[in-house]
Amino acid sequence: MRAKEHNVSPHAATPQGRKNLAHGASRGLRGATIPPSPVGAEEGTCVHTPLRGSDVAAQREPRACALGYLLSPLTGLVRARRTWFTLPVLFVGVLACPVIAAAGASGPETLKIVPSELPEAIAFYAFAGVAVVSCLGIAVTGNIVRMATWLFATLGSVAALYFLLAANLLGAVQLIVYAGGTLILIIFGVMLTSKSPWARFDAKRGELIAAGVVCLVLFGALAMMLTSTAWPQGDPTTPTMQENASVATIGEALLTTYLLPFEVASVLLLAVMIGAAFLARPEKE
Amino acid sequence: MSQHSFTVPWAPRKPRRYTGVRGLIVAIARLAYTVFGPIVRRFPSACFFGAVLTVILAVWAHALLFQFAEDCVNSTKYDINRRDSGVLPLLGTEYPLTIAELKNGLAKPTAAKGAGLPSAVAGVLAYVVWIAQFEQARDLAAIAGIIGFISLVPMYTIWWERKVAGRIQSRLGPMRVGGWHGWSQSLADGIKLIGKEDLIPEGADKPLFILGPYIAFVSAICAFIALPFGTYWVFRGLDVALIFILAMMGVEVIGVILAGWASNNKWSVYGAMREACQMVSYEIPMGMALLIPIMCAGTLSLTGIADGQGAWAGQKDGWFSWLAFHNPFTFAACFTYYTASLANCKRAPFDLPESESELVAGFHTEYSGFRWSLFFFAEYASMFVVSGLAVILFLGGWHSPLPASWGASLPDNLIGRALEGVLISGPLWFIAKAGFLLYVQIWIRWTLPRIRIDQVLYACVQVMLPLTMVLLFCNTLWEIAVTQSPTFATLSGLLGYVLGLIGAVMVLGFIGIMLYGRLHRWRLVGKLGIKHFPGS
Repeated sequence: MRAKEHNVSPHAATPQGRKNLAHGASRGLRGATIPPSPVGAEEGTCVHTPLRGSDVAAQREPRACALGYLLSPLTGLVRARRTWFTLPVLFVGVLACPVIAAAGASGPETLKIVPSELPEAIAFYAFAGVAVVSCLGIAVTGNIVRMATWLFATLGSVAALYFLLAANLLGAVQLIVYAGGTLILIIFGVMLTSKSPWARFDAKRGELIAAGVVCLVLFGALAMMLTSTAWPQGDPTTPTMQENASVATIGEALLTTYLLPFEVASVLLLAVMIGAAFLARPEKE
Repeated sequence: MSQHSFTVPWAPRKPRRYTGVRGLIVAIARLAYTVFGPIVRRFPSACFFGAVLTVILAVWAHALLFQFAEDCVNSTKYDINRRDSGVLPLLGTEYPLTIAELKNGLAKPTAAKGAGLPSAVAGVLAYVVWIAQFEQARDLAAIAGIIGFISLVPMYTIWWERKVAGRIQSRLGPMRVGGWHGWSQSLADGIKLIGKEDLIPEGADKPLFILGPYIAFVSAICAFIALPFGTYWVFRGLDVALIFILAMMGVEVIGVILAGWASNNKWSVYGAMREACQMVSYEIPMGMALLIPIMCAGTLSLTGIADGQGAWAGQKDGWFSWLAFHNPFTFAACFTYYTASLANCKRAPFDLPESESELVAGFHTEYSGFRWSLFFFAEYASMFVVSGLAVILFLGGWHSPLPASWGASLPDNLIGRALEGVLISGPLWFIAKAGFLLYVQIWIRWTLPRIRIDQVLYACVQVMLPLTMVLLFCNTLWEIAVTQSPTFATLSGLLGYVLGLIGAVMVLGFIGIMLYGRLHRWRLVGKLGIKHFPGS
């Protein structure tokens, strides 16, 4: 009798049940229910929703934003949740950048890498690769918190690029303002507002097309600007360049030559702060 | 049947055999235990203090070696024929000296250094110096040092915290492992943590769950990149060191938030939300309090700020030159910064993100084993970093309270430099001061109750922020008006001495209370405690 009952028990039959048995938490439960979502969920609404967003998301239309549709192969990989396949591909993509960089040593004169700068070049291209790959990650990920994590990788690697180019102030400010401040506020906002921990970023087709067009135009403009600008050539490690990039020089420039833009920016921030305080103040009775 | 053998109802498990690299590690561990176990049991306190001394001497020896290598490369003191040639592939370093050149140069007698070294010594030394002349070798040594330090600090701070907690609660704390007051308790705990099962909850967001502790830990390590321990004891002396360290403290929070979020546990998410909210609010008073000493010192480089305090403006010396005693506002900012930094590294009374009594353990409820311990490495490392910042910005950095001018009278040889490092200024002073502030953090944790989240935010937005703003404003006025005008300069100097005396009275009062407590320790704990207290 006991053995029979044991046979029909869902725990033994489904892999989900077996996992739960091993976990011990839901040993007495019939269905494989996982405790409800931590935030925002009203009682009872979330109990029967599978928490793994992947289970439902795999059947849904792949809701990727912006570049997602432009990069259908990668989106497809993410849709199928073959992370075991996607991650190595991304990893190889990152590793390929230093190889390309090394190959650049035998390329045209402007791209030629001096052997003594090879470590810096490898680090530069590796961080550039991380920045590009994590940007794609932001575009193709549906989960907002994961998007924020990819964004963190992007901001961090861009800061690392600044440090490699001896722009210490810019790198540190990038980290403290964007990675340490803005990003935390984004995640904080998601935590406060989202209805479920697996909230996905849904974009409509029209929005995607509009975003894609904007991205393309922006990309074209940036590429044109990059190729047409005559960039100043200089070794960032020389004393003059170090002097130019130092905090003292930048601070002096901000408070003398560029005083007006600096003050306009602070007035803008003040306006934002007043606006936020106005929106957040309690309503009068 | 002997006394210890008994039967169990289940089949006995075979002892697990380790092979390969694991086997090697196990063999080394067993060998170490067999060799050191009896010694530690015989001389426990001597082992502890001997190890501390050995580490200090080893670090000093490493510094001397790199100094020697630099002398070999740069100076004419060691007459070595330089050969301007090639570049080492991949390392990107020009190799200035070859082994043969070094051997000849070290063995050759010169006027500057007297007789040359014996050829056997020169032969061995040449290889060591050849490695040490590369910047990469120095960087590797420094990275190893930082990682070693960041592993030792949490281990011994946790042990210390347990001891202090014990004493405050009339207990003994860990007493057994290692012999002398349980000094290797944390080591045993670490081994236990490595051996624990690595659990990841089923509903967790696995990649983020794994990523969280690493972000927290790595950013805590990164803060040490720019944190100077002495004038030359810094991995990279950035001109924006302070902003960089603050940025790393901010990034550490992302790890905590991700961990809390990815755990898929409501307590963890509450912990993470509290952390985010506490962090973004306390960063503002903390940053503003840090602006005050920067305004007085006129640089963002931590090395510059600390070195400026050795002999402030060429007038005051030693204790009175510290920035905390520079004017009344830096004195007050020292305390507001310290309070905000407690909130910043989530220490009591601001330890809401992991409040054990309400949220189980907050953001790290679901973590176990080594992942869990990474959070503690990060927390204790960041405690050291904020204490170190307070020491550099307010409490004279690596300078001792003794006047820096005394150091000039010491002879310029090895003994003179060692004496100067111990007595006048050196990394030991920095570590000792930061250690004292760590102790105060522990002391506060076991003395004050945890405050509520609304009280935390009230304290930040309505008390600390206006206070710091007033301090910042008044400090600006003071720096512009009082310090610059000859009329008030004398007054300002006198005020500095008064503040210095207040600080001295506080420290002496602390020492006095400590001694009083020691003399009357029979009132605090029972006979058991007295028996085990040092010196009884």
